[in-house]
Amino acid sequence: MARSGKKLGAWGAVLPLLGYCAVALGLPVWALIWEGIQAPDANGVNHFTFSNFTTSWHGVYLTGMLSSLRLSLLTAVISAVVGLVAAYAIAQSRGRLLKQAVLTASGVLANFGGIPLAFCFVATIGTGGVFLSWLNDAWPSFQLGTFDGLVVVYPYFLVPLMVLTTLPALDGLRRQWREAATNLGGSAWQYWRYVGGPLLLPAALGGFVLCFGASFAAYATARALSSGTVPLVTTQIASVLSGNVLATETNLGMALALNTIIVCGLMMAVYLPLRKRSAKWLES
Amino acid sequence: MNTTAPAPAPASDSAAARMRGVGLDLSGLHRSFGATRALAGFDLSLAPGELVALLGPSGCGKTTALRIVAGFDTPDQGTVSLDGKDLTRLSAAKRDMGMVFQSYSLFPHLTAAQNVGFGPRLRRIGSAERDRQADELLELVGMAGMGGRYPHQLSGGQQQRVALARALAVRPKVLLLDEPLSALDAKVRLQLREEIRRIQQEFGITTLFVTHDQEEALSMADRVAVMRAGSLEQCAAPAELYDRPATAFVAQFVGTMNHLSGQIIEAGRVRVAGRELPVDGPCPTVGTKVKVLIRPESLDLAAASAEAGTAESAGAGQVLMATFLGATTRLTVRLGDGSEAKADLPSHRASEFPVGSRVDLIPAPRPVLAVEDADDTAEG
Ligand SMILES: Nc1ncnc2c1ncn2[C@@H]1O[C@H](COP(=O)(O)OP(=O)(O)O)[C@@H](O)[C@H]1O
Ligand SMILES: [Mg+2]
Repeated sequence: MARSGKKLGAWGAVLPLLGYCAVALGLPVWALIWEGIQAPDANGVNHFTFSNFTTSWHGVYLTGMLSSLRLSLLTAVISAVVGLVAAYAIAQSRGRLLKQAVLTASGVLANFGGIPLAFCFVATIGTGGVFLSWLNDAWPSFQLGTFDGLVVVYPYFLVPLMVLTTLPALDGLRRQWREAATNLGGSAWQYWRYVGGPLLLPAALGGFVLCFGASFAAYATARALSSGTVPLVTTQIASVLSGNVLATETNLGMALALNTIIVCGLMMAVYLPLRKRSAKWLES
Repeated sequence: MNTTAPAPAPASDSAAARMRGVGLDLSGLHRSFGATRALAGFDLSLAPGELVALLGPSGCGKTTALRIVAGFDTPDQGTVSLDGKDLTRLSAAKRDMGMVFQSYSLFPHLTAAQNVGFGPRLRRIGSAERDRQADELLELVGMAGMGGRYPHQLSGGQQQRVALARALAVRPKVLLLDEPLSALDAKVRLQLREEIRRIQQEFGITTLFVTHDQEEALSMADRVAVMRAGSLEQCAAPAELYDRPATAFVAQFVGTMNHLSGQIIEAGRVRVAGRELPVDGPCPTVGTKVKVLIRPESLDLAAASAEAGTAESAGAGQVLMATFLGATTRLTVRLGDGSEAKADLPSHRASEFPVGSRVDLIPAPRPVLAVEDADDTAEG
């Protein structure tokens, strides 16, 4: 009895938060669904329809969706690999100070996307800057405002994100595990194959999924660098919503936004169980 | 042996037969970490099948020595040999030594049975055979039926049992344990102590057991090696270590020890608490003021004589505290010079000296260690 009372008490404490989430997140999603399944007829009267969703999965919007998925997959793979290697190097280093510095810097850089990052590239490094001219020598067709340009720029905020999500797991690998594996006759390769690898996998996959989601949902960087010339779901939503030509366009924007939320929701649905599993192993 | 424990698992007979103890020798080991000298010429020999406890205060180099034996660290100087074969440079993976760590060493993503089967799996033993071995070993360590549990579903003591089974699964030539019980509750610690000893004897496996708990060392080991500041102070059977400590350090570190003021009155004889006793081991020069080391059980008490308080009765004092220990009671006596002495008496006798009563100390007429008063830490 006392136990269930305690449980209720714990729930009571988070109730306000749940209420807030329901309002702050639930209402917009509800609005997206509500608006997404309506369209005005010739007289401006709204009717229920699936046409917005049908449109959102065809033509330029399908191209945008596919291009967004391709960009996210590519940048997430690059960032996951680079980030994991970087996190491993940091975890191996002895200096506490370095680790703290890198974590803080990653925290800032992971949120560095958007206009600041674009500005950094365009203004500081410059369209005629050292980095870009060097890149142009090696890769003549390279331009910042293209799909390839975004592939180069996105990892600047995705790699720190990967470092942030995997460093705790790498730090959680205990020396005893490695030594126990060695003591039982295991080589370095066998340790990674049977112990280190499986223990890191959830965190690494989780980091990858998070990078994918962050890349998919990124808007400001793409907008600032490409001014909408690269077809991406996020920039399409913006142009549909800001075009304010027809009321139908608003409804289409809502449908597109809902598609984005579904993709990101799927990513979270993959990420959260992975994180939970990793935490259970590494923090006990 | 614990009479309530079930008979040893029959299958382990064959395992025991395959595990013949081998001798382990550490000689002249030196290891420094920067300015810290963790090992400074450490020597130790283990006979086949023997359990030696490596005992010493924290930071004296026990773990460093064990890690060098296991091959996780290399000595700056000195050798480790097994059965006469030098393996100082052999990689840890090839040493055939089972190691049990202080805590949290089980692989968290594997079940207890999979943890035990880890070594055999690396040795390409089939899964059916692995499972059979794991069941057998888990039963041996008192974990029958719990093979399917993950480490986070086990208590600290259970985890250490599994860790022991995992180490034994590779049929190691030597078992190394680094304070395996120090993270456990007192009760579990006592129980596991007995079980580790039983299993070690059953397998006849040469074992080096690191601990900073003298009671643990004395109760489990065939011999106890007392370490101090990176080198061996004394290695002897528990009773010998307790009764005839080679140095003042050992005497003070192992068991409870009284330090009574005394004076050397002639070569090999010391005057303490109004009595003359023979000095064991090195004797300071005649006339030197010394601390005489006497165990609580070697001190008896008598009701204070009439002349109490005179200069002659250096052993006179007052009972300050009585601690009931069961069969015996420890009486703490404040002496005339302000120091305290502890005397263990059978409880029925101790009741003759209530707190506050005046008493005389009576040291048992046995040889004692005497160290110079000025410097307690001088080498013996
Ligand atoms: N890897 C290391 N780096 C630096 N100092 C170390 C290292 N390992 C041990 N030491 C030092 O060596 C000494 C002995 O350590 P250790 O063998 O762990 O002692 P014990 O196990 O007896 O407590 C200590 O002073 C410790 O600080
Ligand atoms: Mg230690």
